[in-house]
Amino acid sequence: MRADDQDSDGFQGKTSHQRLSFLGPEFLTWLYFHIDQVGGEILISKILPKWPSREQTVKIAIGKRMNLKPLVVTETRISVVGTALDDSGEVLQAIRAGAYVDSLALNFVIGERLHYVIVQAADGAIGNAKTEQSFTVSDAQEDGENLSVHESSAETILLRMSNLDEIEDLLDGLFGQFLKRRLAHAYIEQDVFSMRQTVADGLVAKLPKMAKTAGPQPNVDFDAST
Amino acid sequence: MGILSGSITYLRFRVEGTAPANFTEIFEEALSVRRFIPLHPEGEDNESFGFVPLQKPYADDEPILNDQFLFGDCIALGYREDVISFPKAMMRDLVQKRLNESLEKHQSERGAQLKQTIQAAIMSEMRKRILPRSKVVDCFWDLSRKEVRFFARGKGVSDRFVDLFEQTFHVKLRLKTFADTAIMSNLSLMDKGILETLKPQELFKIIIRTEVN
Repeated sequence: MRADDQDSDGFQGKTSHQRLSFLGPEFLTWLYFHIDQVGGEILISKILPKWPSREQTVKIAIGKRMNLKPLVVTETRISVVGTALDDSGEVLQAIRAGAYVDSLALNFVIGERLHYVIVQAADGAIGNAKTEQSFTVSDAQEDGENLSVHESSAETILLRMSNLDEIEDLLDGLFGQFLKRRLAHAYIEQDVFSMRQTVADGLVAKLPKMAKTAGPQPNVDFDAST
Repeated sequence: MGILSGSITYLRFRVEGTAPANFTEIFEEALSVRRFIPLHPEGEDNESFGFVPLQKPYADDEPILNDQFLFGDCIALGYREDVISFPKAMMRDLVQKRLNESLEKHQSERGAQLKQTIQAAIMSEMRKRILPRSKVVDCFWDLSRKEVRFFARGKGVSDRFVDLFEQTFHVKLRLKTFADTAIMSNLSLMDKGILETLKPQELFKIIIRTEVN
């Protein structure tokens, strides 16, 4: 343990890293709603001022897999697999019941490049990443380049790693944006309220439509303020 | 694997410390010391771990040279672990059988010491027939980004890798979690103060059943 990990406030002897471990699930939960809020398209300069490529926007979509669990409970875990998870009643129900996003599949489209990853809240791991390989060694060989084993490995490694750099930069940029909001007063007033409202509205929208003549409407009370 | 083909799963580590300016010479020497050494059928160790060349992880006689692990400003290596494990049930039955045979011959010999001797003899015999369970995990160190990617997620294997990496290259590795990213962020003094006392923000009260039988 490092000296700066010492907990000065006596949070049950936890290090700062352990104490702030909730930031992972909170970030992925925020991101789940944020992607919908911005229409799945983010201006790169807003999250990464030093972006090296020429593209100006990144399209982000929720993938086909996510896990949810409460912050304090490790045993209970809800896995949701399928399409249209951005509008899934099951996901909203789980969040309404106190769960946070524990892992989230994401699709990034940057120009012509497509990346697919699963982000883990607990350890920040990147899982099942599939990246676009716009240039392969076989292309180079077809072009008449006679590459040695080391050279061809180097081409593949550096291309795949540069794709991961791009994914990590985007994730770090999004996390930076989240952290900035999370540390501001506006987080509770705006972001948390908006997430609660989205859950409430989403769940109400999932209820079966009642005919006007079918008697009194059910008393659905999803209070966004609690 | 993952660095050269297939889908990729990995942990991110932040590197604390700087590689020396003449790292090309130093690292080749450092890797020769921490190179993987295969388990010998007549040896006593049941596990071995170390670094291997990325493209030839089972070429045990070849040294790891610069042109095998240096890729521009980056280092790519394999981390290999071999473990010999003896099936518990098989060991129990074989030891019992030999113990019974031995007791029939020498009725006076009894006790834990005899059992231990038999166990060691059986393990020695079995080592010649059992192939070690081998695992190779790729790792990638980007010196300019000061980050290491380790292409596995298991806690045990990543802990052993971190120890070996730190011993080999004399730098510290820190798991790059979201909490770590927040702590290392370039925040204002006020924001740092807020972060230090930040607590989880409840979105909704927990109503998920938590009893586990």
